[in-house]
Amino acid sequence: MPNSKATFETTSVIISTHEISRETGLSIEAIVEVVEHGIVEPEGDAPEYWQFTGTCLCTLQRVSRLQRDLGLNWSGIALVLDLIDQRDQLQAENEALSRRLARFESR
Amino acid sequence: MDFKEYYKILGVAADADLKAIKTAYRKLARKYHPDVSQLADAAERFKEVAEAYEVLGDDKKRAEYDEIRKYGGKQYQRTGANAGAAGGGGYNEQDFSDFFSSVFGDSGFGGSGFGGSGSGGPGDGSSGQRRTGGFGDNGGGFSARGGDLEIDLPVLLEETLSTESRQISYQLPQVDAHGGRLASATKTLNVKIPKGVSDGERIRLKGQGAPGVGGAAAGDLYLRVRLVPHPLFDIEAHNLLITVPLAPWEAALGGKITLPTLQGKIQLTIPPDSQTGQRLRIKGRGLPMKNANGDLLAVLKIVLPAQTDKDAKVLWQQLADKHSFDPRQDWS
Repeated sequence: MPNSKATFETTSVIISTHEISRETGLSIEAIVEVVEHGIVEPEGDAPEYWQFTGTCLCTLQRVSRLQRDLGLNWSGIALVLDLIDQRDQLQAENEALSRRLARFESR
Repeated sequence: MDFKEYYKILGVAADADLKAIKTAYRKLARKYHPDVSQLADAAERFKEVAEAYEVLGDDKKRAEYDEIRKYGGKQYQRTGANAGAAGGGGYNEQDFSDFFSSVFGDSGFGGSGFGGSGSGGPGDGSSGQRRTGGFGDNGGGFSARGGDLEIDLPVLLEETLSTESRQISYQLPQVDAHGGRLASATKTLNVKIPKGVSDGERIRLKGQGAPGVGGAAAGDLYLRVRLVPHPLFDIEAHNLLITVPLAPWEAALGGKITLPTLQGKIQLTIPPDSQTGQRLRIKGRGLPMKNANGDLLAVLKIVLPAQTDKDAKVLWQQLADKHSFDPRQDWS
């Protein structure tokens, strides 16, 4: 298989607004809305100069799916993503605390 | 191929009206949406629900389905009118069931991308619309960008210290020239894990996802970093925690102990009169960050021997007789 021997550099990918649009199926206008709602925060002053990270792209793919599948509006999507993040954080914290507690309680 | 009980999947009666079907779909879609739900089989359930709604939410498709259902689901086959018509619209992360394809035509594989025809460009007015497409032009040959893949990448804490090369293997879906699904192939890559990665971070490997159809670009591969729980160290933001068991006399008198860190062993000074739960901070021995490293926090835990021999009991007794310490004075 080609490429199988190559080693891939994985450091900081930068993705343009246009590329984001192509990858997610969100229109440029939609991406502007999403950025205005603070769901993702690209670097750069205007849409044509925006630079997104790989994590941004994943978030925007979630945005695209949530909009398409559940018919949520931008505020709704922003709220859902915030709540999911909070849930994930609490879960991770809970697991970490349980592990630490176990270390403390066992000999 | 199994007959799909779409009414059962949506939990509605066979004579339910469109409004009831829509409500049932919305409720289940919220419940099983893979971006929201934590159920292990959420994606599977959601696909089922989306497929059921694709049929029952559409008068024409529903009539056709009802017809088949009336004959006990024995007589279904691809109908000329609909065959191949379902490429656009609808759920496109995974294809629908074989049953769906046989009745309503192929829902299309690899629909999670777009043809190379510049869809989504500025001013195309697709804002707020369901994502459609997945294929270029039905007339000629079509092309479709390959889907993105995401896999978990378990990373040991030690591996976050420097840029490490790692071999990863994953299943790559294969398609033939017409977008038909073939058995997936195992692909192996050498990947450099950047220094200082954190839990949950995604690494993107451009063009290493599912291959495109008809000359279109391959999708991307995302590696989701999962820091593997360590036998000694716990993570708190960029800091590491280690629980340090101490003998009571070590805690009382203080002293030096050897402490394992991620970057090798160091000497740690225990101050006199240390307490269980007390934290000692060792700067720069935590997880690596872009600028400075996090810290290592040594959490003290006073422990007693499992058994005390006679001599030790005598010594403890002396201490008990001479010491007027009341650990429960707060209770009174």
